[in-house]
Amino acid sequence: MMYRQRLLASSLLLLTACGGGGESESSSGEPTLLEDPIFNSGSYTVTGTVPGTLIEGFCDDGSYYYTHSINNGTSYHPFSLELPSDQACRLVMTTNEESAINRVVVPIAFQLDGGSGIAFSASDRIDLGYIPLPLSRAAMVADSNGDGVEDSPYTIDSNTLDSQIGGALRARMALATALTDPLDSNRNGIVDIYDDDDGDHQPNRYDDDRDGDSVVDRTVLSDDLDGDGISNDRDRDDDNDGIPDLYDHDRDNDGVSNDLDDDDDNDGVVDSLDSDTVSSSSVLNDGRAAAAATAAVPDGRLLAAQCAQCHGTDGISVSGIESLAGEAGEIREEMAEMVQRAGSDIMSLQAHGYSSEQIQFIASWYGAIGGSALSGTYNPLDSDSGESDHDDDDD
Amino acid sequence: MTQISRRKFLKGAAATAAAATALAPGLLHAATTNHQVVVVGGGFAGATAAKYLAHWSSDVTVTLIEPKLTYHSPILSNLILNQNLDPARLSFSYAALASNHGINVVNESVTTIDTTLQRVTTNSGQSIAYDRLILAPGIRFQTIEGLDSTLIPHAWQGGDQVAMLRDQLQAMPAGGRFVMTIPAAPYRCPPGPYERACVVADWLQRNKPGATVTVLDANPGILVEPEIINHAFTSSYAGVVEYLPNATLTAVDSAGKVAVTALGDYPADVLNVIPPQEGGALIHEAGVANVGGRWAGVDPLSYESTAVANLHVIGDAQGTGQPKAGHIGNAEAKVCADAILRLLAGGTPYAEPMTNSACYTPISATTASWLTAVYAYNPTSRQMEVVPASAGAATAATSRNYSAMFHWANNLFADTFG
Repeated sequence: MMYRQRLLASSLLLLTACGGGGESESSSGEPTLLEDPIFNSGSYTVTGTVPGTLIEGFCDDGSYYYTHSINNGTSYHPFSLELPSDQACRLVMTTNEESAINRVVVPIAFQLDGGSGIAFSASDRIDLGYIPLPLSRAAMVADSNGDGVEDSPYTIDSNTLDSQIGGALRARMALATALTDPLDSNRNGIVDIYDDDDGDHQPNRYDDDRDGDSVVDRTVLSDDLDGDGISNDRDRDDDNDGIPDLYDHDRDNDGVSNDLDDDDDNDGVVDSLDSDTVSSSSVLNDGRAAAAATAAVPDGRLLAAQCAQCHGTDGISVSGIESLAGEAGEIREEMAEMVQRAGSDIMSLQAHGYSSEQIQFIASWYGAIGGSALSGTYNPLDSDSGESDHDDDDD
Repeated sequence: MTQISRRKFLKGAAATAAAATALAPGLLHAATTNHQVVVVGGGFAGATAAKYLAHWSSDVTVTLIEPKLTYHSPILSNLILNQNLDPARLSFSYAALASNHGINVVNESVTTIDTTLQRVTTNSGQSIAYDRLILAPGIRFQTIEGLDSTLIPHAWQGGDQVAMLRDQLQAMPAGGRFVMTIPAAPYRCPPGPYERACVVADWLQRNKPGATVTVLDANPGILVEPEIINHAFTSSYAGVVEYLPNATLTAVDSAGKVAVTALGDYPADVLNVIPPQEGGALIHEAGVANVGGRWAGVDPLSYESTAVANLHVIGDAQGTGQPKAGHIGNAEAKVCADAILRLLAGGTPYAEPMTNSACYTPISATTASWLTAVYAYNPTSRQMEVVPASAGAATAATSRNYSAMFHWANNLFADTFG
């Protein structure tokens, strides 16, 4: 999951303010497509590590940003979320997001120079360090209404964080000072969209009947490709693939590039007659960006590359040190064995530097390469003959 | 961060490339929508970064800017002093990086870096735009009063300087005095000066009877492999090597070949001054030398400067506290290259990078020792830290180590320049 997604969904937020009853027009009307539709006045990045988590940002202008933490095989999943610099935003983190009964939602607040609050802005990259989110309802601090949303936000103390990891929060962050919060009208520290207005133990965000009148709020829209309740003509990302339509070479995700697709948004209206179609000349046919953004990089790539100084690029040695390409089993066995005994040669000591999980990543990476790729053709020094078995110390 | 984010967002946009072309007629690769990564400096760190960026991704256009046509490895270069190695065997061109990996090698020097417009200018006036810039300028020497390195070699960069020291040693009279100075840490290649003292002492013993080696060390003691080095100084080379700690160099009489130190004046027949060091000129010009004014502070997850966005510093010039040497410079380069590719794809750097240091140290013409450590990223301190169980050194200098040293060097050279 090596991608970051962003989308605008202003009407999604306004739904809550209206208390349900179907779609609401955005008060700002049809958004204007700008050169940079997401960040008109710059942005910054929030980083940190969490357990497996959905991280959402809700900003004053109704813009909405989200990302998923990256499962790197540890319990510290890094994330990076880009937020606009000119807006006060609020962070909400959700574990087990896929499960209505196990989902745990944690609003994030900040303690900063004597004040505290959930709405903040920042001038530059901030790092929140590790945030110990509960992974089950049982581990929650308090959930009196049983909606899976913590009653009070988890508060990050900027002083503590700055002194521990140099998160630069005090230098770069400011809390919103307004007495009212447009996204938290009852000032309970939970953005309205995560309140549970009708007390049915489902926060509004996931409740399709927010006012409890037994009428499903969202009308099924005929022109809503991704079913997010935002009709395509007002949805910045028709197919919800994380690539805003302006930059999406395939807006309806039908596998046909817009350039070749007579009906870019699959609404049954051909583009020439469709008022909701960005002209193809302004759509960047950038399949590479889409592919790159979603291509997962195996965990082993970087770890394995650190063996190459001695064992050769891609594990194909050009000298007497053994090759690693295609040797997954051997790597696992030998390194596990080395870790068991005291290090008396370079490789044994190196083996002690890696966790068993990392060794698995490395082994898997070299196993996938196979032994066939390259042969050693670049041999700048005439090496002495004989295999080096790493037992280099005659003592 | 405003411009950076826009750039990131518009990555690959034809509009960006077109606009850049209009701004800079000399721009390379204006027609492509690939991301532009420019690497400045073709030593171990820079060459490795260029190679792995291209090796791991076809979505980046990699330009390597290095004024020298040939790189002369400092690694193993003490074996030029004792004439065990022909200098040509430690010389590498950038042809393999260009032909095997499609890297644009620009044999020019960088004159200006504009970190706002994100472009570098070379001595020919060529302007090259970047999405990400990697600086790998290595070291530069701090000023020592009276030091003229055209007379008194440092031999701490490969090539002519090493040849000059070799020639001076060859011309030294029997019974002559070789004096060398070691700067206070941190400096490039921690074991290197001690290795040099040993290799030269061994050679003098056999070739210049009665000659001596005086080691003037600004540090309070032997910094690395102290048991083996001390054993060599006091046993193998007893009567040849004189080791003096806390001998900080204050000035040099270059014409008279005298080292002026805190402990007194040391006249020499051959004087080798390894001056105190700091990160190369480019990090100072780019305004990123924010660690003690000497080194570039970087985030060890990506080696991105803590001072300037989209600018990365790897190798000896960076200030993470990892040792300054070619093997670990290669390791840092891979972390940086991997992070840049992930960032350009809209992701985040790998969260738990590892690096490692390993080197063999010749102690004589036929024996060597070694030193190694693995470094892991600590997310709490946000530093690279030694994994204690992984750190160690040889217990004796052996001929087997000497053979293994060439296996190591071969793969390291090939992994970097091949």
